[in-house]
Amino acid sequence: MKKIIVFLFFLTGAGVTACSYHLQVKEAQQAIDGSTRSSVEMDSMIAPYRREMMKEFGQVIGETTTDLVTGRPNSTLGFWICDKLIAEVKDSILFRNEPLVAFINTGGLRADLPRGQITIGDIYKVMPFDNRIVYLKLSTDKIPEMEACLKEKGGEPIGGFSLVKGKLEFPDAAVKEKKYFWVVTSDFLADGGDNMFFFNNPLERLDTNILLRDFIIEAVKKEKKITFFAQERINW
Amino acid sequence: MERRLFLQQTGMVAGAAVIAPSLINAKKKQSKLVILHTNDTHSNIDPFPVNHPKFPNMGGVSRRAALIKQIREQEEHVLLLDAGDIFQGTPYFNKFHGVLEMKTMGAMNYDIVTLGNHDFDIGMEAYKSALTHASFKVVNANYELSSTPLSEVVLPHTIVQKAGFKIGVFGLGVDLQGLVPEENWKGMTYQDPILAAQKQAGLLRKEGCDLVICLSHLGYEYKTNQVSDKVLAASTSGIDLIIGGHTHTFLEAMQEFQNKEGKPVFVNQVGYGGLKLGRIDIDMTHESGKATIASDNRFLDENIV
Repeated sequence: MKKIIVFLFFLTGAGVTACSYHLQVKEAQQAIDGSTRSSVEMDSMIAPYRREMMKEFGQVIGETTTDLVTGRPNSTLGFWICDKLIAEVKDSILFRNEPLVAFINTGGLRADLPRGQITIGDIYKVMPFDNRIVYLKLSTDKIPEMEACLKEKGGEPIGGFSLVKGKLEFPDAAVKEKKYFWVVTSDFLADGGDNMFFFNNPLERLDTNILLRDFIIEAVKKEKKITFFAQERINW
Repeated sequence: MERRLFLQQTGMVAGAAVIAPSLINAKKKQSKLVILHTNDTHSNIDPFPVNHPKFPNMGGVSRRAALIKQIREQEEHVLLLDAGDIFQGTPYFNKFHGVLEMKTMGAMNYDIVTLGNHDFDIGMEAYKSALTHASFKVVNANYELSSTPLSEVVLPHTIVQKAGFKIGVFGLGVDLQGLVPEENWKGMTYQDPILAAQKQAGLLRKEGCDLVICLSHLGYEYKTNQVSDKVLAASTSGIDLIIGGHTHTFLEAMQEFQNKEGKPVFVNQVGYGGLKLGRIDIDMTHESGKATIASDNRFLDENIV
């Protein structure tokens, strides 16, 4: 049904200053949704591209029974990815005796994974960038900087530790004793992206050739049917 | 004759009503400019998925095109703008490197766009190459691009004549340091957006522009002291309207601020993903010395077809 709401704004005898014109600006934002008609010309322009795109990205690789969403301070999608990043290597020779946490960025997770089937294309929407997985060994001296960053940004996806009333808590007691911990993150952040300067000058850095996106695709394929409820990990 | 326009927004003094043409004296010369705008469309060619938790089956280029076409059928003078981040966000971008985004925006007859940080994601040559599929102008005034591939395709500002208005449009971009890998913007120098904006606004006023619009990819507001559209509005003079982007802010309505001379500056931003189309109507009724203004503000709700 056609429904136009017309608001009439009027102003009479507006105070006129030195100019010869008086202007009024009116503004509206129009939602583009299912009831907006589509454009035949545009559809035919897009169609061949969509076909080609779907051939490569349309393949279903798994499903999720819960919405995995981005957001701050606590993000189900971010936390799920962080947990997978840790689980992947925590029993490896390198990390099995080491404290390992995950810290990625909200800005790098560009879309939600809604309940339902997941395609390769969906993961490209989540992680369109060619970011690679990096492991950094950080001194515990960096903890105040990390806490300050989490506060300023209003939370970021983390795993393996939590921010309780603004203070980072490591379940692994060895952190205190060793005075360091490992963080799995992206090369984008490790290289100074998003102004996460606490990643600068790590004690050690291990680069990989693994694209974060490919890692997520494999993680979905492996789990096939995801059901994920996250506890709160970040509060102040 | 002084042609500087004063934008004035009135309060919500009237309720719903039909348009009452009797309020407008037929003898007066009337001009109307309709500004339509998007920002941060991020390669969203298709509508959002039907199972999307926040925006199920919303957006999509085809619908945007239809809506714009419908408005063009109703309105004579339409200016179609985008505030940057056309690129990155769906596999269409990974696969076709921005070509389809540019083609569709070209087909919708966008007039002017600015550069967002993600428009640098595959490098400046790739942006330039995708841009050959569109015919709109690209403006940015605070990226020094002369020794880059974008030097000839990006202008600090452009001036268009529409609806009897002389409209100056310039662009501003966010600092790419920390946002985009440096090899993707090699040779570009970032300049202070406030200084650049003041220079552009002064220049465009001197050129006799009635209306000065800033296409900004700075972001609406920050908790930190990072330059935002709000800061820009308050720290400059000569800008009438800031069409913003970057922070994906869904403003319920256009916001009014005071510039450093106490004059109004309007700021708008419509979220991201091509979920909304911003619309700003500027009406001008003029006769010698005195002005009476009557205008309507139409909200087209989701049931409009």
